[in-house]
Amino acid sequence: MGLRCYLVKRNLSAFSDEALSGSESRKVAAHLAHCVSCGEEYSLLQKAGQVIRDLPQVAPRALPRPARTGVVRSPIPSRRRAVQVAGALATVIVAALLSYFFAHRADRQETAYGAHSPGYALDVDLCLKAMKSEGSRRRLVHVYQAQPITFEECKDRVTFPLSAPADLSGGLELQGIYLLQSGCCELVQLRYKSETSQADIFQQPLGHALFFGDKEFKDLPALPGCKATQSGDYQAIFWETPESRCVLVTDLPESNLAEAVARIGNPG
Amino acid sequence: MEGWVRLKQGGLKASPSIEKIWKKTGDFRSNNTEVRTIIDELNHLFDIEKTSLFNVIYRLTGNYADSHDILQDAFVRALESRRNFRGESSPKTWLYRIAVNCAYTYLSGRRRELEPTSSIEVAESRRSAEETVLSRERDELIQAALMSLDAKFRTLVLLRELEGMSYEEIAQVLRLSPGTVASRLSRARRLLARKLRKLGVV
Repeated sequence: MGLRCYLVKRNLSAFSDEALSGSESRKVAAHLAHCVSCGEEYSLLQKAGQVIRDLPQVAPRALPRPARTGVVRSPIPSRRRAVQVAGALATVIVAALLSYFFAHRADRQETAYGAHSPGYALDVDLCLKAMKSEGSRRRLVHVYQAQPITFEECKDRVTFPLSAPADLSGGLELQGIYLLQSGCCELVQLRYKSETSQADIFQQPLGHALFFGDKEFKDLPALPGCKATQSGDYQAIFWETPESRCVLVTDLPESNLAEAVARIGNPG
Repeated sequence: MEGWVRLKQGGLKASPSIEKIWKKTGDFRSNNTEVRTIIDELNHLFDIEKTSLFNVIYRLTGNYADSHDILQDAFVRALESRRNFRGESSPKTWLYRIAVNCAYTYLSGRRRELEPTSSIEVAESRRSAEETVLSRERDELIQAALMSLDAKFRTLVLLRELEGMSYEEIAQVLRLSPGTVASRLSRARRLLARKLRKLGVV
């Protein structure tokens, strides 16, 4: 390999990126036209570059996070409906979440942001907010995990595909369930679907999620269908769809809860 | 991962150190519009770039699952260090710089076996099963070739070929001179091409 070949080979990369000056570029092109060795090298580099450029774009795993988190800004028409449902279910107390919400009415404005960007960004956003919340005595800090957790991986949860009988659900369709027995909620959203509509009954950013057993919930106001007044009496039911994660809160003991869930849903 | 505590359930929890940083960063609850704006801007930037960032991180580390964490980590660091961003580079290259550094931190901390690429969910168009297997094998070979390069060389190739960045942009991301970028890129490409030929990809 002559000196010229050596110099040309060093410049092939920049040549292919058109990063050489005009005269340099012409020299390389002229050399490539007659030098077999350099021509081969050039074509190899080109092919290799193409291989990398052709790599399929790998998508990060989708996050089962609601596309909108801003719903809670204003009163939601379906809220009344939600209370009816809670009544219909008799045992499952949706309203506890709402009560939490009422109890923290002042926070509402803040929970309303972030509507434009679901996904990681929002996650981090919420998680930072959650950290901040910690400063204000709210203990929850649990960042949503990028990979959805399966039941096998997480013993705290049980999944139930749900399709509620009309007498129990008031015509609402629930879409699957997660049961979290202890620890913190990561969650955030309660969604119902009836024959005519689908609405978010409740959405709650991460930073405001409940932490069961937290003294802060001692003074829950009595709500329709809600017997329990202490947070320690509550259980959370989670359900998750590809688009959203949902939660219900109930004052049932665990054993009855499983029964209720079994009645609502159609396990397996 | 630095700054985060991994929970048994597999989730992540903010460590006290991050919390401290957060307290310095600003107070959401005070309705601070400046903080809000910065977060929104970052969210927006991150939204635009996250798939590209993810791909660079993934190809750089070769680990699909962990790339999610690294990406998240990068975003948190961006949020924390936004005050250090003085506009000498574009926000995009600044974000890439953080992401690349996070990936380096990961690589230096964990030299463990590569996760089989088969677990990744490549956005595949309707291909036959056979084609899928073939393309997956090919993908693994290419990843192996990439991993055979020094991380710094790998980054150069990825930023150039995958992201189509200019030499100036790469120089900003890696804090190198454009001349150094050109010479290292040349070397990186030659090494990669040899490796790919050896593995029979080209």
